[in-house]
Parts: sequence; structure tokens; C-alpha cells
Amino acid sequence: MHATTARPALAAPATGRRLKLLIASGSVLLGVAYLMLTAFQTTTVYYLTVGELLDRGAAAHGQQVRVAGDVVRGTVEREDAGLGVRFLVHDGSGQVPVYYRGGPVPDIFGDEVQVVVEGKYTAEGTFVANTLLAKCPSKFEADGTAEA
Amino acid sequence: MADFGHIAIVAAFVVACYAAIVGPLSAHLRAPDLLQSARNGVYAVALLLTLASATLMAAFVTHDFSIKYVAEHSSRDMPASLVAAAFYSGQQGSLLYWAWTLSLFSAIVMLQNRRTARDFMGYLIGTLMVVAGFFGLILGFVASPFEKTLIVPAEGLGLNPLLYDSGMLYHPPMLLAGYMSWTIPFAFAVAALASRRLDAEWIRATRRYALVAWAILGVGNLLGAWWAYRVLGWGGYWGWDPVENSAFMPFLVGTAFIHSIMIQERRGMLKVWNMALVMVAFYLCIFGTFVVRSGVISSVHSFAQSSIGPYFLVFLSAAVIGSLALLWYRLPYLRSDNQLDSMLSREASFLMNNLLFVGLVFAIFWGTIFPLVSEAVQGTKITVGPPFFNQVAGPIMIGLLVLMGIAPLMPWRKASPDALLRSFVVPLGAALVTATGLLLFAPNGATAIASLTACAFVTATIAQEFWRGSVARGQATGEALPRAFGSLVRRNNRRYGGYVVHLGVVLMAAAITASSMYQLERTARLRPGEALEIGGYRLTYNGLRERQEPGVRVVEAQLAVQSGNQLLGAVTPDKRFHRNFERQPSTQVAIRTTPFEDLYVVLAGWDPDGSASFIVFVNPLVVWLWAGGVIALLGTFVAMWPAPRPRAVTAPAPSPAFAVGRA
Repeated sequence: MHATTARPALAAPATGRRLKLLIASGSVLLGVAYLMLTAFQTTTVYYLTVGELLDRGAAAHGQQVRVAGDVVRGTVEREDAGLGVRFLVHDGSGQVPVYYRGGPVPDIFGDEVQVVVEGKYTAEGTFVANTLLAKCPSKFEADGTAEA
Repeated sequence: MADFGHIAIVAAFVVACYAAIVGPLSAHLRAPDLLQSARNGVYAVALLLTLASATLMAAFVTHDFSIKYVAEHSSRDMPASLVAAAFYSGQQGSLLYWAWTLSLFSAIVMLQNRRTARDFMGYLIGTLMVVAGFFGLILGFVASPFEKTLIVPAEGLGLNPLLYDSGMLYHPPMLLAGYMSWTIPFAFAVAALASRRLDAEWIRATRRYALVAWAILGVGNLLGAWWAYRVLGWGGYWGWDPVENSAFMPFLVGTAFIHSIMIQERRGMLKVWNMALVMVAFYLCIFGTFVVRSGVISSVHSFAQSSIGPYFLVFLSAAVIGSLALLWYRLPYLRSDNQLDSMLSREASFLMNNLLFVGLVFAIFWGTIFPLVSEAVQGTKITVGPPFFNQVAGPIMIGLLVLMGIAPLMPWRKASPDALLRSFVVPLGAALVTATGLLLFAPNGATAIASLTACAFVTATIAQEFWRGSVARGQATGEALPRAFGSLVRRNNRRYGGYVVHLGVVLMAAAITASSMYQLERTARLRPGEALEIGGYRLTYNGLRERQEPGVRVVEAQLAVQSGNQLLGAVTPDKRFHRNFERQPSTQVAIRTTPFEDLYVVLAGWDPDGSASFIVFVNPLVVWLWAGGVIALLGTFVAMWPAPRPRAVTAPAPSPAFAVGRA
């Protein structure tokens, strides 16, 4: 939508000026494209369901991925006065143990809360998360900020 | 009460539809009576939606739990201010707020443009009322805030504890109003195209409304960052969440517009481009409202999957297709009056600024919808997180900063390289000194150094502009320097107001750079009496304390803060357990602010033995992010201040066909 409208109504009489303008605008846009491409190459992560993560098995070990699911009721264990937390996360297709430590645990985190964890699946079968996001239970709609 | 509110909304919908048809019809038939009728329709919609909003507000204040929306979003023991804020805490209420403020703004626009050409007004009313009618449709028939409960509960559910914060009073209404207010410039653009009145007048009127919309949306964004910083406890204020991005994108497009519109005012260039920018800003505002509400992009802001998503998608598509088609048919009327004379000109540097802004928006847009696209194309969902946005946005924003220093010093049409070089001696010197200082004393990566150097460069150009302008005026008029400075700003308020905005932005950029690149973080579990050290501070934990407030149990940790041997005071981060939400505490961050840095202490948890765990950050310069925002807002006021009236002799004769009222 932006690309189609990004054609300013400019026409210079002298081809030299026109060329300069094209080169300048082109290099700005190429620069932006280059930034996007390199960033895409280094920062994309797969967004998987629990089932998809388990299906990948060993192939997923050591790879940064993002997994969404619900916290299994009664499985939340805190350690070190709340600095670390262990829990099981499940969706329709399976469940996986998660360990998260070092960052803030969102206030709304708890039993049966929908979470998104980002981190690495280890050979021991535990998902070691370095990011833990929790979503509000669906009965609460809100438009305030709520990331963890 | 519920019926009354519902009827008011349905009536507003009907009247909006009427005005949406009659307005353009009056332009087509050249019928002043019809136009007056459409105008009255706009006032009636404002009145009806005010009644509906007042009804909902009254239901909240009187705890009328027979209305489902009230029962689900408030309770009797909530503070009065939050009961009022619960109005817009859910989907239906926030859409009603959107529609209501739009109807008020539309009515104000009617009052301010009483002498504007009739055909223009007809199409303007048509556009405004189509948007209002769409919201009326949703509120009346799809997501009514006045739906009744089957069994009236004795007590409401209450507000989610996450929203128990003064941020709730300011951020949502400001942001929603920001989204809404871009409808006005959009309607002016459509009306100008439809009525073929594409002269300088519509630009003058649109610029003013666009500045207002831009300021509201900007403040809404910044208040969101401020709220997130104070309550979320991860030490930051911006997470590149899809909903944040959606609010940021129209702001960026709007920023591009308020710059490129100057090129059109002054040189009659970029006419199509400006139209496109206004339109895209409006689309992005609708897109943003849709993203918050639809759950289509996985975000921590998106809650229930909701039924209104498809309606928004259809409306947005119709708006995009309709307005772009109109633009296409009017292209012959939008020929450029002038051509670019030189790459060394203000026009060219503004053009680069616009390309960077639009490039940035494009990158953010792709990053935001990438999971959707990858799922549709490849069948696997791939996401990008904050690292992507930081990597892309960082260099672009530094580029924008540099242009912010260069562009205002560029003359229109063509610069002479010599004069240009003279203008940049002092700023380049300031940049050099800053870069050297940073390399020697705080070498924290190329990005940080480049960004702070650019900040120094821009600050120097702004200071130099004020200084040169004041001296020149003092010499010309014989005024003393302070007085010359005052009259300089008063007489050129748009220009110097703009510089003040730039100064605010520089402060914000410096704060963002410093707080993200020079942040310190430590986590620790402490027994009472133990201490942790971070960035020259020593925090000694003195145990937990529990106290009861109405409806809330508060557990707070007491920490003494020392720097060296000097006791600076105490901080008490806490967790609050709201009745009905015992398992969802709300964490209150303790922040100790100085001009240099924020000490940011989060109570992460505790054990029965009295030991507690903390996450502590030292965030440099954060206070300047908020201060910069305030300065930018003040600058916007200066720029919007009506210019001193030109003397009658020199005043241009008002265009008889199109006289913008007292906008």
C-alpha cells in the first residue's frame, strides 16, 4: 500500500538533476531494504504450537523459537523467591515443560493463562525460555499496555 | 436506561447515514438547503452520541449492572476515577468513545468552516458521516455497549488489576482520540478531491487539523510508553508489540505529512504525495483500531477474538479503494507547479526525510504483519521481535535525526555550497566534540555514539538558528536581544515552534539511546539485611511489610538506597492483591528519578522465610524522554498559535469561492 503511493510528482527538466534525485531516493530506499533484509535474516524466529515443537523433536534443539500455549493448572513452581519459574505448557496437541528465569514474570501469569514463550528447546526436553509473555484471560478485554 | 442509550445510538446511525447521503447530494445539486440539512445532521449526531455516552457514563456511576458492559468492567469498590475510566476499558465502550469524539470534532469543524465553499462542505460532511455511520452500525447492531445482562448481578466483575493505574485515565482516551482525529484531515482531502478545490486553501485548513491530530496521537503514544514503563516492570517503555506498532505507524506517516505539506504550501510540489500520506495515515488509524480489537495479529494487547474484525476489514478496504480511485481520477488536477531545482535545497532534504519516514513505516508494517504473511505463504508462522525493529529503526532514526539538523538550514530552491558550509561549521564542531568525548569516556557501540553525536549536531543547529535570528532581528529593529528573541518567535511562530518540537525530539532521542544502550540490570534474591550493588547504588533490603487498603492487600518491600556512604532514601516496590483477583497481583515498580538516571526496582517475589527477590535497573536519562515529549508538545502549541494578523493592506484578498473559517 505504501509502495504504490510512493511516487512523488516530480519531474525535473534537466536530466542531470533528475538522475541525481533518482540516485538519492533510490539509495535511501535501497538502504531501507537492505536494513530490512539483513534484519530478517538474523532475527526471525519460528512461531510454533506445542505440538509442532514436539514434532520437530531434536531438530528444534538449540534453535530460538517462540511457542504459544496454556499453562497447565497446578504445575507452576516458583524458585528463588520468584526469580525463576517452572511450568507445563499445553495446547490441544501436547505439553512441554518450560523453565524461565532472569526476567520479570508478568502479573497475569498463572494457571490456565495463555502464554507465549521464546527461547530454546533443550535435549533434556525442557524449553528454556528467555522471554515470557502472558495474555489476559479472554473475559477481560482491555486496551491498556500489557507486555511482560 | 439501556434502551435509551441504544435508541440514541441507532438514531445517530440513521442521522449519520442521512447526512452522508444528503451532504454530497447537496454539492451535486448545488442545493444550499440540503447542505444546511446535512450540517444539522452532523450536529444531531454529535448530540445523540453525547446522550448515548452520557447514558453509559451514568450507568457506570450508578453501578447499573443490568448493563452487561458495566457489570463486566466495573465494581462498587473501584475508585470513582477508574469507574469513569472503565467507560473505555472494553471494546464496545472504546468504540463508542471513538464515535462520540469524532462526532464532537465533526461538529467543531462545522462551526469553524461556516464560510467554506458549499460543495466542499457537502463532500466533507459526507466523508465524516460515512465514518461516523460505520461506527454507529457497529455500536448499534454488532457490539452494543448497552446489551443487557440476563440476571442482574449484585456486584460487577471489576476492572482488570492491570488497568488499575492512573495511566488508564490518560493513555487510552488520548490514543483513541488520536486515531479518531486523523479522520478530519482525511475528510478534508477527500472533499478537496471530490469538489476539485485543490488550491492552497485546503492545504492551510488541513495542515492545522493534521497538526492537532498529530499532537494528540503523539501524546497518546508517549503516555502509553510512560504507563508501560511505570507498571510493567521490565525496565523499558517500548516493546515493538503489534499494537504499539499500529499506533506508531500513523504517527510516523503523519509526521512525514506535516513536513511535506510545507513543500506544497511553499512551492506547489508533491501534491499527489501529500494526498497519499493523509490517506495512508487514516487507513493506518483504522487498521490500528482494528488490530487492537480483532486479535488477528497475536499481541499481548489483543484479548478476545471478536466479531467486529470482518466489519473493519470491509470498511478499511472500501475506504482504501474508494479514496485511491478518487485520487486516481483527480490526478490531472494535481500537477506540480514547480520542479526541483537542486539536490542542495530544502525541498530535496524534505523529500529524503519523507522517504525515510515512509521506509520506516513500511519496515514496521512488514514486521508487524509478517507472521500473517508467512503463515499464508509458507504455512509456518515466523515472527520477528524487538531485535528486528531495533536493527531497522535504529539507523533510519539516526538518519532522520541528521536530516532534522540539515533540512532547516537548507534554503528553498538552491543552496550555495559556501553559505551552507558556513552554516554547518558550528554544528559539525559540536558533533565532533561529542563523538570524541563518547569514544573516550563511554564507548558503548557505534549506534549509541552515532545517535548521540547526531543529537549534539541537531541541538547546535537549533541553538544557532535561534541565535542568528535574534541577532539579526535585534540589528534590524534595535531591540535588545531577549526582546528580539521574543518577537522573532512570535512573528515566525511556525518556524521557531517547529524548532522547539525538534529540540524535544532530540531530548527524546538522546534519552532513548542512553536508556537502551547504557542500561544496567541486576537480579538478586536477598535475605533481610542483605544488599545488592548496581551502578554506584547500594540497596539494602529491610524486610517486607503488609498493609490493607480498601479492596486491596499490599505487600511492600523496604529498601534503603545508598550511594557511597550517603543515604539517599528508601524505595518500596510492592505487589497489590485486588479483591476478586487474588491470583493476579499488580506489581508497582519503585522508581527513583534524577536528571541523570532512574533507579528502577521491581519486587519479583518472596519466600515464607522473608527473603525476597528483586529485579533492578539503572536507566540513564529516562526523565528526558518525558520532558522531551512535554517540550515537543509546547513547541506544537507555539507552531499552531494563530499568527499575528497581517496588516489589512498587505493581506491577500480572500478567495471568494473558498474562505476557510477561523480554523
